Amino acid sequence: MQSDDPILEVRALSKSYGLTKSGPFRRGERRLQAVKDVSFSLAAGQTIGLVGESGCGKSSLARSILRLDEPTSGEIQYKGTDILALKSNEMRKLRRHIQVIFQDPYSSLDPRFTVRRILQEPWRVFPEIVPPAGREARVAELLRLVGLNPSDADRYPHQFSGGQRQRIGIARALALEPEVIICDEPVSALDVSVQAQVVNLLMDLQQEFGLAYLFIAHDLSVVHHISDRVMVMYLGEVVEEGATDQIFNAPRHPYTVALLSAVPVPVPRLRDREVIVLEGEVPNPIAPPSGCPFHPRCPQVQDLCKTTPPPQVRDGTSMARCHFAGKLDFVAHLKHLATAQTR
Amino acid sequence: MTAATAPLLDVRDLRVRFDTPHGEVLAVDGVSWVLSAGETLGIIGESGSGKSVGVEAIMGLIKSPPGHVSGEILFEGRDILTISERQRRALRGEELAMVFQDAMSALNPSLTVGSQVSEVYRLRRHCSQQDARNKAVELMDRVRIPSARTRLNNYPHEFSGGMCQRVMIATALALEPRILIADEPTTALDVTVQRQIMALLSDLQREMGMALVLITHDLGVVAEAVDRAMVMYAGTIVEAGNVEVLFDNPSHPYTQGLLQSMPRIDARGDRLYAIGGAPPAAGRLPPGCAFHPRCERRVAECASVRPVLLPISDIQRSACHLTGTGNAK
Repeated sequence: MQSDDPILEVRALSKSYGLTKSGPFRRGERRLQAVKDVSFSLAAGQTIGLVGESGCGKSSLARSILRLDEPTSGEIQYKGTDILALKSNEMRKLRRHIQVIFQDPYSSLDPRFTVRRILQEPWRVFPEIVPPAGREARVAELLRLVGLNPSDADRYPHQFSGGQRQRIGIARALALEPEVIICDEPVSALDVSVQAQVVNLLMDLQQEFGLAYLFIAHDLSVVHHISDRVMVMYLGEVVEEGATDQIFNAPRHPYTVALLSAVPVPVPRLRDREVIVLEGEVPNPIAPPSGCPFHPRCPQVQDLCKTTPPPQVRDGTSMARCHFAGKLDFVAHLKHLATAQTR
Repeated sequence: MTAATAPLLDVRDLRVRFDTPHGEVLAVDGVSWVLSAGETLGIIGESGSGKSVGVEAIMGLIKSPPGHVSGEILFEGRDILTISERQRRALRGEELAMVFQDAMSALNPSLTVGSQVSEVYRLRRHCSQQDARNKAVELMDRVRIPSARTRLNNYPHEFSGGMCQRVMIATALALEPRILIADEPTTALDVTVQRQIMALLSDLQREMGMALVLITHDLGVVAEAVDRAMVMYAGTIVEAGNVEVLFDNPSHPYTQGLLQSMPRIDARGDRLYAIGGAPPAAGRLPPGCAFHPRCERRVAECASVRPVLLPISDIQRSACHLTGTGNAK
């Protein structure tokens, strides 16, 4: 299903927010760099996973791509069209191709609308997609597609469980026949047994329609399962990027290693393994550390890291922003992943 | 950690029901378990399984009406459901304490962290303002809040989620309880912070020799932290046992399904196994085994007869008509 032509190309995208200069809470002019120099390209049928801790800029990046927040600099191309050059009415037209599925299936559906109205609403903006005569049938088809019953069209969101609501959210995203879907933590609010159903549904739909996903999640296990490539963000920067197997089996950035090491594994006999417990928390993005942004928490920190921002070190199709990428040995910390794989 | 010591807490046939406009809802339906001093027990369950309501009943946090708690909760042999509210209150904090999932909202946003941590010393130990503050600093050091003395004057919004959870743990541990109940203590936190909080809880547990009841939907957290675990579904315990056995050799179809449906960081497949359907809504439990409509291996009996939690070995119990007959494997 996957083709090589990128549908979405993001180059050197940055987004900073100005913090109020005037007003009752004035604190002088400061800027928060939420997204810094992010580049990637997404092809049809491909899933790129985006992981990182809260506040790392995952959602800001998604908002910038959709121009819900205007990026500060950089370039975004959708099938060769420069998105950032579009006027607002042209941008609105383009948004049908790039849809979003949100984390909270409780607050992202209008409680006063029936499911039918929720699914037909997008066609008020884009009437040409489904002619009025065909809408009833299309609603039924969309519901079947996401594993719901056509008779559910007359019900309201509160009559559904969390997993079913997320299916409605997915059906709404599909109503405009998009090519790219940004999934912002789509299964984080769901119970374990329901989470698997929704992950399977997303993968089936991708197969069927060749959808491209930007899959944002803090749960590394889900990202591991669904993604072709993975980007790891820290303080607004992509610190490592590569094919999923490379990221999970042979990570080159100490932060990726720490994240992987911290994930609890449901195998009781592995509980005494050596785990990297990172000290402290993510620094304040208003006053980021000098040099490498990860250096205050990095177990492998050297003097160079404190002063000089690391370059992007490439190896084949992967990239790591670390002075010592490829020179560090993490085998001891990732042994448990290998042992568990052979069970 | 063995059964040789008498149980510290002995919960017998605990039931919690609520009167609602739509009728009576049985949130916890006859649950029994014991906890020994110093032990770590995990309670696994999805939302609505009754895992939180059950421990809230133990803490005496169920408001009546609309809630009704029945059964027995024996703390050191004494049924705490029959003692006065005054005695009950004395028990909370001193013997039993609890931390909640959303520490940010469990703390009072309009009081400084210091006043909230020291409050318990002023009210319960009748310490002077100054003594209480000093003790609060000690406690905050103990839960590893950096520069505790200066942070005493901060408000909860000036703390990160992980730091708020540390404050919550500090207030819960102030009177050195024998049992700490932690309800999804790391669910809202990032994985690296989760790791810090779990390490902290386990260190404190060892230092203070207290028992820990860990409630979570995260099977990974349970596998790494507890000695024994129970799996709850629709208000009942469907499986319980030693954690190694539970994960390596689950017996109940629901436990098996939960474990299989987890995406794994250590293994990758094409499709996830998914349990069909959704947990039943409270008050609308199916007859027989509550899990039978979702169970792939149900037999006729499952739709009419409710299975009882029975031992299948000395370290594992299961509530399923198929267990013991070899069919559930």
